[in-house]
Amino acid sequence: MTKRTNKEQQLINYLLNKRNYIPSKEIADAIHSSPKTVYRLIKKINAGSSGGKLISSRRGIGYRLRYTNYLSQNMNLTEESLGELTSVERRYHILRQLLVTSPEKHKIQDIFGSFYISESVVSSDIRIIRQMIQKYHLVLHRRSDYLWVTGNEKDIRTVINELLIGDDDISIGHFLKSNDNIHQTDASFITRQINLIESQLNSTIPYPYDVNLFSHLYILVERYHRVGSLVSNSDDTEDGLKRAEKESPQIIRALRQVINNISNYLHTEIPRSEIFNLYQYLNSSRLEGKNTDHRHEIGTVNAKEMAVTRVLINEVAATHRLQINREALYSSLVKRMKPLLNRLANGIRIKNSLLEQIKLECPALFESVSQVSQEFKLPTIDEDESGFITVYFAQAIEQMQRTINTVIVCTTGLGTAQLLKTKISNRFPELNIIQTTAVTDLSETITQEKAIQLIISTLKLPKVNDIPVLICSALFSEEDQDRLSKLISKIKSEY
Amino acid sequence: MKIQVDWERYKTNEQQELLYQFGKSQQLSGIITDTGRFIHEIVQREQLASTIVASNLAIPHVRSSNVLHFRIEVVKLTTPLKDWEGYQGIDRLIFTLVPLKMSICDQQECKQFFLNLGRQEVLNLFSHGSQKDLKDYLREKR
Repeated sequence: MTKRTNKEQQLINYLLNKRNYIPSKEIADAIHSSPKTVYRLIKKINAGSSGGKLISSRRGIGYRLRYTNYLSQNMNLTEESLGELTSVERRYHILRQLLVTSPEKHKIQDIFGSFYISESVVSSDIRIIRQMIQKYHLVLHRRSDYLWVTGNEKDIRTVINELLIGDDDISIGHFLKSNDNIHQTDASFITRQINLIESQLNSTIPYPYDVNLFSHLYILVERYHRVGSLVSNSDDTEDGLKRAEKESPQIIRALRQVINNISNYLHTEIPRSEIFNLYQYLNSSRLEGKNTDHRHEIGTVNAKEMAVTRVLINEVAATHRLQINREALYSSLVKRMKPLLNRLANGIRIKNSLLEQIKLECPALFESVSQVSQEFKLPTIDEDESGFITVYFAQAIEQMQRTINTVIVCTTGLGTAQLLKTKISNRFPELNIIQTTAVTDLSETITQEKAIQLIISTLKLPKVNDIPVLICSALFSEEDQDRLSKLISKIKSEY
Repeated sequence: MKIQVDWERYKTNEQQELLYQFGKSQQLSGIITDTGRFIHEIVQREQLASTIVASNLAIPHVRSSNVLHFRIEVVKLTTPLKDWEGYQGIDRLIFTLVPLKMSICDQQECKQFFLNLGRQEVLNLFSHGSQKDLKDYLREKR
C-alpha cells in the first residue's frame, strides 16, 4: 500500500464515517476540493491499494469505502499504524477484539495502550461502544482497570458477523486472501466443509447464503479457538434436533459430519447444539439442485408461509395499484418465504449488497413490505430482507411493462390478422397479442378487453379512445416494422 | 376440406377477368350468391389496404352475406397478372371467403391456416412451391 497524501487520507476519513454511497459533490465540499479532484484522488487511492479497490463507485449515486478491504489492508497493524487510525476504526478494532474473546476480561491499558489517546477519549470510546452493542443485548463491562463484553453467544456471533461481513461485493474467496496465515487456514477448512455440505446434499448454496453460512462457521471456529465451548445442549435444542432428524435426516447427517470435522480440527468437543444452530442457518438459506431444471428446497411450504406471501403480494399490489402477474410472482416469492421466516425466527441476518441501489430505485415498494410483519406479528423485517423482497416486485413490474397488450384487426379477424400475429410475435416478443378481431367487432373487443395498449390494423380505423393505432400492410414490410418499433418505444416510455 | 388448390386453371392475366372467372366458379359451386357483388367486395377490400404478402402472392378476402360457406382457394396462374391493384408480378393468390356466421371448426381451420402462413417457410411454400408440395402440405395439415 503506497503512502497517502493528506488529501487522500482526508477523503478516506470522510468516507469511513459514512455508511451509504456519497455523491462526489458532498465529498468535494467536505475536503474543500472539486468533484474532478475527488474522482482523481479516488482513482489514485484505488490504484495504490493492494488486494482490491478501496473505494467503490456507483454511477449517478456516488462513492463508498469498502470497509472490509480497508480493514484487511490494515490488518497487519503495527504500533505505529495503530496510532493513525480514526476514531471509528479504533472502536471497531477494539470491539472486534472484545467480542472474539468474550467473556474474557482485558486490561484497559492493554486494549487502548497502542492508540496514544487521552483518558477522556478512552472513556468516550467505551461509552460509544457500550451504546453500539446495546441493541444486540450485549453488555460492555468496566470494572477497576478491566473491560469485557458479555451476552448471549448467539448475539455475540451476530455482531461479529456484522463487523466481519462488509456491504461491498463479498464472496467466500475474499476470506481466502487474508494476510493472517492462521485465518487463511481456518478459511480454507471452512470452505471445504461447505463443499462437503453441497456434495452430500447434491445442491449448491447460492450467494448470499453461502457467505452467511461461511461467516457462521468462521466465527464458530474463531470463538472455539479463543474461548472454547460457550454453548450447552439445552432441552430446546435437543428437541429441535430430534425434530430436524425426522424431517431432514440427510441434512442432519451432513451437518453432523461437518461438526465432527470441526471438533477434530479444533481438538475439542463441539456440543450437539451447534449441529442444530447450523441446521437453522441452512434452513434459512436456499439450496439449488445441480440440475438447473430442478430446484431443491428444504422442506415444503406450509400454510403460514403461503398466507404471508399472499398477503404481502396483495397488500403491496393494492397500495401501488400494480398491474402484475400475481400468480407468477407468488410462485417465485413463496419459495423464498420459508428461509426468510426461518431467518426472522432465529435472528439470522443476511447482508444485501444491493440494498442502497434498491432503496434508490424502488423507494415506495421498499416501504410497503413492512406491513406484512405487522399483520402477522413477525419480528420486523429488516432492510436487507425488505430489499430482497422488493427485487421480486420490481421484477414482476418490469415483466408486465415489457409486454404491451395488443389487438390485431383485419376485415375478418381470421385471415390477415392471423398471419400478422405470427409475424409480429416472432419479431416483437414484447407484444402480448390478446386478440385478433374483425373490424366490425372492434368496439366490442375494446369494451371487453380493458387493458388494450395497442391496436395494429391492416385497415384505417376511426379514433379508438386513446389507444395508439398502427396501420400496416399484410406484407408487414421493413417500414411497417420500423414504425411499430418506434411506437412501442413511445408506449413504453409513457408507462 | 375447405382449402383447395387451383393449379393453372385460370388462363388470364387480367385482374378483372380473373375475379370474374373465379367468382363465377364459386357461384356455381354454391359458395357465393352473386359474382358481381363478390368482385365489388374483393376490389373494395383491396383498395382499403393491399393484401400482398410476398412479391408474387396476395391474399384477397371477403366477409359478407354474399358468402354462404367458408372457403380458401389457393390459385396459381399460368402467367402473372399484368396489374393487381397497381402492383405487378402477382401469379399466386389465396382467396378467402368468409360467411357472416361461421362454425367454430371453420374459424379454427381458417385461423390456423393463416397463423402457419405467417411462418417464412410456409410463405415460401405458397409463393414458390410446386403443386405437389402444396397438396402434400395441406394434406398433412388436415
